Amino acid sequence: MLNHSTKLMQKLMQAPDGPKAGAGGPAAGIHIQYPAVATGPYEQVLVFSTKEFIQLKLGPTPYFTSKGTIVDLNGRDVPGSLVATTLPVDLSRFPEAFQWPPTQVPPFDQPPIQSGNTVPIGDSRQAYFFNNQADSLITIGPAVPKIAVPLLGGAGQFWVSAVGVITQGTGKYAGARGEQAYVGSSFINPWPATQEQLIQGLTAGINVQSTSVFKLVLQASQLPAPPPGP
Amino acid sequence: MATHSTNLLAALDGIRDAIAGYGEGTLGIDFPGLAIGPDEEVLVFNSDDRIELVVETPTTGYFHSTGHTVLTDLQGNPYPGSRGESSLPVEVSELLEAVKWPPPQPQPFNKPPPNNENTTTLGFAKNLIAFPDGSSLGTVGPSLAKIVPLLSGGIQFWEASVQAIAQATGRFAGARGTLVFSGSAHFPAWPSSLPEQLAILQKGFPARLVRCFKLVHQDRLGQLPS
Repeated sequence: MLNHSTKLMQKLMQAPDGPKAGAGGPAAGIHIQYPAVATGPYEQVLVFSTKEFIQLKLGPTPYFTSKGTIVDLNGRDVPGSLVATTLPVDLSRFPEAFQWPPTQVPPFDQPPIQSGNTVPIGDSRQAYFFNNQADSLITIGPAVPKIAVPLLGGAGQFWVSAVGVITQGTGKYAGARGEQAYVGSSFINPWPATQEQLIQGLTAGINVQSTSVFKLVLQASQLPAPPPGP
Repeated sequence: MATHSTNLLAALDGIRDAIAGYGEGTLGIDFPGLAIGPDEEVLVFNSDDRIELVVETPTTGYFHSTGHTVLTDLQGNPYPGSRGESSLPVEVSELLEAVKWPPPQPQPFNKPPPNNENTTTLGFAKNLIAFPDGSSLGTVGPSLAKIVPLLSGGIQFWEASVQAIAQATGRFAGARGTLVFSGSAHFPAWPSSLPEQLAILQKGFPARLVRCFKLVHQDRLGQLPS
């Protein structure tokens, strides 16, 4: 029989119960679904994080490539998960990542928009696998990198954010439509003194932690698409 | 909204949920476990908005918030005293593009080339998020809309965006970082003609946006290049 203190510790370590926290994650106690903030009766909202290792691959078309795993918002591993991404980049545009947008003219609920230094530098493709690859979501969309450097102590914070449109899915997500917003970041310490050293470091690889928000509707709730024309 | 626990285990549930950022009565929008490095702050939350389309010319207009935005945590608990403002100029033709979806991508997914067909019609939006203490974050960046028709006869309308911090006040003054959001609206009925669709959008509609900020405060920044 468990003593009281053991029961109390178990209670503290136990994940929130399903209905309150939006159950339905891939394993008990792990939550990536948030039905309380879905819009309408058919939408699913997934919010989770990833831990990835990203490398810059050099060649005629340089690109970032990553592999990693999915965790919930409390950092608990989602069993059987996998993430793989790629982002081709034009290295001559890399300096744009250090430039920040101009101060916007209020009010914010009226134009104009001053969009300087926020033009995407490429298209990020992202693949998320759940349940030992039985379920998956693949997205494509524009990406914007930003870098805050130097931080106190000489490090740098490197962000890449992207919009992803679902292109395909498998398992329970086969035929799903929807969008994803992604922001990944890396802490690079120390920040390299030259771009050559930065590229060398990125080629060796960096650790990234991201947050993703998916909003999607499963195929069963969609109007069937018309057959392709001749 | 504080609640009273009726027994010890319920109280422990509350403590655990508060630590985890979950649960009724807990406004958990700060997720330090998602940060990387010692300087980053990560905020994840929802906003319940009301949006309307203003048509300025036969081919142009803008979406904007109507002053009813309330921030909530991911359980839908409101964040009293918060507010949000947004605007997004659009070409009316973008609505027609929004129903087109990108093609399936070839494997391997972690190597080029990505096929960006039907993901390049971008608008640029600005957003202001203000917290109850008066601190605010103003952002700007590209947005991409998609629409899927539903079996029920309506549509689901999504707008996702990636934005960089342009300005900030209060505890965020001078912060650098990015915002991403995935927003959506559900229309139970959706007419087939563009003028009727625009009329519905002009009347205004509820929308929900799940947002994530990743940022570094000014006091963690060294001397930035001019």
